[in-house]
Amino acid sequence: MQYAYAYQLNGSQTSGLDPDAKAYINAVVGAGATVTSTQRNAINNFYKTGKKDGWYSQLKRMYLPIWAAASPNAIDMVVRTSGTFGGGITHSSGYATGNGSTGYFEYDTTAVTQGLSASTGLLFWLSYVGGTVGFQLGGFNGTGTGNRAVLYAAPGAITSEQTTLTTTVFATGGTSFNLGIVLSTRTSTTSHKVFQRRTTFAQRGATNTTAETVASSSVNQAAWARGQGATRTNFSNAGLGAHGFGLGMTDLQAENFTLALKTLWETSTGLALP
Amino acid sequence: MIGFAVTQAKAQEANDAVALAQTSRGFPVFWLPGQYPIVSGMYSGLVFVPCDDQILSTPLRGNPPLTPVDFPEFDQIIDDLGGMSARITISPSDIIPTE
Repeated sequence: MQYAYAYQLNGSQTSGLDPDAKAYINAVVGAGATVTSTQRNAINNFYKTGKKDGWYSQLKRMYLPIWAAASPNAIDMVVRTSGTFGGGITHSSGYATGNGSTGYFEYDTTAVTQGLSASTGLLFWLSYVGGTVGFQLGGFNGTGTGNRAVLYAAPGAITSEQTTLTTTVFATGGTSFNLGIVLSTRTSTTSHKVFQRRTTFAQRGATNTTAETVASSSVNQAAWARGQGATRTNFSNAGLGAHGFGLGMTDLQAENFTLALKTLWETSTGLALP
Repeated sequence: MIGFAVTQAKAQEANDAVALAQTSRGFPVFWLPGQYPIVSGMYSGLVFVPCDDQILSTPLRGNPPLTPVDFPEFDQIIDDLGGMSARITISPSDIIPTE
């Protein structure tokens, strides 16, 4: 049976079933979602590509909320733990959308716990519906000057804040800046970059070389909001097809990862990255 | 926004009951209605627990997905919050101190 399953998953770019792909697929199916053979192949190829190209080990949590229900959408692809949705989130086929007032997703862990620091960090999302308010990713201690692992795009700007209270706007432009895959990577205390993939892959803005010494966020990471518990604010109405965090990726890893994520999401959903 | 304006203790009880409905079935806590301090307006000082049509129809798990109202605990949790007729309508600005 196992051989037959692995054989079924074999595509032109796949040889054998990746154990993490199998575990994720089983978890999603266990939560009631239907995973088609096309989706199974896409998931398997994603894991195998990431391990071959070296970026998979940088991921600490990654969510793929494409399954149109809360439970499968809350399953992490890396260690298969569950986060928690709260408030008003709409679960559609291919993405989930915040309501901009109460909806959020809380990871089961913090940036600091997963190794994000002044010298390494990764934040990313795939946005199918551009948000007009709020933060897409918001790890944030308390209020005001708390440490943070924040990446957001209000209309016309992409802002990344890894570790400090310094707000770094990496790009300004039209509302299209909300869309596609946006990735923030820190690979040293003096290298903080933002990349975006839509039809092409490109760095947004200049590399921030400001020396950092401050720790990252030590409250559970949030998506569609910033902060935790009673201090959770800045709710987003973006429609996200993926989001997560991890350790910093090189430029090449970021390019390869975003391409693999684009392929995974488009193949699994039948939608096109905007 | 439609939901309940209740004490912090009552809001926590409701969220804990929803969490228990998941853990008692061997599931992780993957969904909560949430609770939000009301910071302005006539209900200021209480805590808002969302309970609108979007919340009530949230697809949770299973195939076809169950929603909150499909769980047998639902009626008791709503009764403990005062019943559906006790729901109020507030402005989003009453709960969101955006920075």
